[in-house]
This record gives sequence, structure tokens and C-alpha cells, in this order.
Amino acid sequence: MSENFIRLDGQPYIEWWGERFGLSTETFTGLCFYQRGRSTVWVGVPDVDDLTGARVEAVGIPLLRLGARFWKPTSIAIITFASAAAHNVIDLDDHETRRFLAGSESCLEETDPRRGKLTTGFVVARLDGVAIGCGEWHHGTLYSCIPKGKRVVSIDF
Amino acid sequence: MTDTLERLSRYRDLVDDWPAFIDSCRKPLPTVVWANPLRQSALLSLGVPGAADPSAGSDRPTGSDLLPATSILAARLEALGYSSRSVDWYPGALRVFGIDKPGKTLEFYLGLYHVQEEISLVPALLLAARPGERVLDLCAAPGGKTAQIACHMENTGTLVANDIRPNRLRALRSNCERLGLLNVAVSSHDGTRFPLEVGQFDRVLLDVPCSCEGNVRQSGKIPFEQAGGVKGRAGLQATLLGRAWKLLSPGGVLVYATCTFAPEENELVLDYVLGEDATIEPVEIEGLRASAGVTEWNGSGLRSDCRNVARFWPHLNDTGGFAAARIRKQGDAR
Repeated sequence: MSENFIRLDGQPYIEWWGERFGLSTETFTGLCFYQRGRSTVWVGVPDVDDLTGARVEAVGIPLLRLGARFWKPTSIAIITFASAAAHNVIDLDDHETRRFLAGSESCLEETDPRRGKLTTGFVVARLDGVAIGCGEWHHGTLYSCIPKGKRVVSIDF
Repeated sequence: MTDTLERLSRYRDLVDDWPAFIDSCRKPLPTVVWANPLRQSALLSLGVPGAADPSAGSDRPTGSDLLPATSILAARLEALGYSSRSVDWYPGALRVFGIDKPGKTLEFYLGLYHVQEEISLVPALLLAARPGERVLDLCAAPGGKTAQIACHMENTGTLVANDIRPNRLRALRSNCERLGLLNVAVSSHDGTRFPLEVGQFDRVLLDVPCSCEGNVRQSGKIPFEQAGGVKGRAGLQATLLGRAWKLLSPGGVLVYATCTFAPEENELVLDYVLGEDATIEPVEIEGLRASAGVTEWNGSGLRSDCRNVARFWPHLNDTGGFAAARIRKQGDAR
């Protein structure tokens, strides 16, 4: 009855994280990949085949949403796995971090050297070497992809 | 409050220092957080505000010349204006003073710490789960104890976190994700009917729904006073324990916990359900005071190992009230 979660071959997803963010394949060593519903890939340690009979609602954390045109990484997966991203990563200052966590966008000047690491699409937002969530980089603007319910409008730090 | 304290007077003979107990029940509870070891590298990377620039790139700082993660967390909270003191008996836990919204910090958002009532840290410690084991948390929401267990298992093995209530399941899932628990599978069964075909577990935590008398310091009253009182949930607690026992491997450990003082919800349940294949083991946590369990109540004698139930009255450690038992099932461990 764990048929909610269908075991996947993780290779395409490991490769996607490697290509998009430069993460090594070891990032996902020992983890199982699952699909639940049409579009969400989950990643976790437990083998659901070992849980036959259980009504499983979640295994580990959601990793990716699969769309027809693109795949979107979840913010929680970025926080968990992507601090060591080598490309498509943007290091934010405190002010930009506050805007990002509140769900607001930030424009980068034409001359901002950080633009060099970014290509259009989903990126890792980072503060002091720590991934803080998923952003979308498009036409010189960083959009925050923090889900509405998780945004923090007034945050202490 | 007076009514509530009168209701607690039935425990007068069980408490060593009644005035201290009553005094303690009137005080608000300290806020306690614990540093998430699974996010330790993030905490080390963020470092102490105002200190030398932590690595701004992908290179992570290495350990030896840095403060341990908990000290960094304390320093970061200090920078926000909140002083803290470490909880001696639980590594990584801090009592934080003056913090109104501990869930509204960057550190919380990133899963660097979890907020949990101090005394409710006890059951996971007694369960003592190890890496690679198969563990069940039968009434898991909102997931603080689940998270502790997942950390003790070092994010390996299989930890099934079960709860039936949908709104509580949401909180459980949200906490598991925020804290980066990769070894947890969340399930949504009625705990009294958790399917036996899932197989047995090395350890089971059974933190049962109870009358929550021990939470008197949180709200100034007993939250579920109206719902049948201390006897209202005893049937459910016994049924849950019966099921949990069947799900426990021979040689395995089950921890039964409540946040209530009532013997009807603690020792009487254990006495009613447990058979000869069960032993309630003595427990001791260094730095934490507990009093012995009840072996006689209202004139009836209970099984003698009920004395090993650890009772944490609020005045003993300046915490909420709690009771916990570590029970070993006869047989050879797998």
C-alpha cells in the first residue's frame, strides 16, 4: 500500500542537479528517489518496499517538481543539498536576503559580477555560503520562489 | 488557576515538596531550542555575526578553530538580543530568554534549530535509537521527538513517523522537511490499527495523547480538563500500547511517555497492558532529577517495576510535567 510512492531510477535527477548547479553525484549517495502523483520527485533514505502495508504520506523531502517545459527544484532541497553549488548560484547580502525571504525580487545592475554565474532559470540563493532557497533568474532580476506559506516578512538576523 | 491547582491536589502524596510544586505550576515555562546536528555545517558556515568573515563561497570552514555549533547558535541568538544558557543534560539544547517568536528567525527558517519544551526532550533520549535501525514513532506529530530520533540515527535507517490527525500531520511534515530529515517516512494510520504487516521495529516511541496536566505552566490550566479527565483517554492509551507492543521486535525497546501526572494514564496503563515478556527498566539521565513511579494507587498494588517509571514534576528541574518509561521486550535483539 505504499504505492503512493513509486521508486525511480535517480540517475536523471542526480545528473540534472549536477548539470544545473555543479553538485557532485556524491551529494545523493545512499538516497532513494520516488515519484508521488504526477509531478513531484522525493528523495529519502527509507526503502518503501520495506514498508509494505503502510499508508505513506512522505519519504524524506520533496526534491523536484517535474513540469512539461522545465523542472523546478524545491527550496527545501536547495537548502538541504545545494550550499556547495558551483554555478547558477547567487550570493546575497543581508538586504537582498530579507527581500528574498519575504518573496520579493531583486534587480542586479548590468555591471554586477554575480551575473556571470547565472543562466536563465532556477538558481540557488545563498547567504554566507549557506543555501537559503530557490530563486528564478530572468532578464537581470532574481525572483524568489519561496512558497507563500513559508515566506518570512519580518525576520530576525 | 485555583480550580486547576485544586484538581492537582490528588497528587499531594506523590510529590516530595508540595509548596515548591504549586509555585512551579504558576510560573511560565522557559523557551528551549536545540541545535540541529544535521544542519551543523550551515551553522558553522554562517558563523558568529560580527566575527571574522565566514567563508563566503562554497568552501566550508573546517572544525578545529571554530566554536562548536551550539555556541555559534547561542552567539547568533545573543546578537538578536536573546541571551541563553545551555541545558546541562541535553547536548545542543539552550534555554533562551526573552524570545517571543522563536519561529521567526532566519536560523529557524533554515532548520538550524527546533523549538521544543525542555522535558519533552526526555523520551527520545531514553529511546536511544542508533544509526541504521528501524524505528517507529506511533503518535509523532508535531515531530519534535521524531526529529531528535532522526538525528540520533544520523539520518540513516528507517524512522516511520505516524499520526492520524490531518492538521497535525501537516505540522509533522513541515518540521521534517525544514529540519532536513531524510530518514523519515511519514504515515497516516490510526495508531491503534497501525498495520502489523509493516513488520516489527527495533524501537518504538509511544508518546500517547493524554490529559496534558503537565502543560499547566503553558496556559495556566489543564488543556483537556473537560474531555473525560484523567480516565477519559486511558482506554485509548492502553489500546495504543497493546498495538505498539505487537509492533516491537523481541529484545527491542519501547518508550511510553505522557505529559501528565495521572497514574491512570501512566503506571495503571502499563500495569494493565504489559505482560511477563516486558520489563520496565530503571532509567537515569545525568543532570536531570526524577522521582520514582507509583506502585500503588487508590489501594491497588501495581507491578513492581512500575517504580522505574520516571516522573518529572515541574519543580524538580523547572520544566513542564512529564512521565516516561523505558520498556524492554524479552528476547534476542535482531
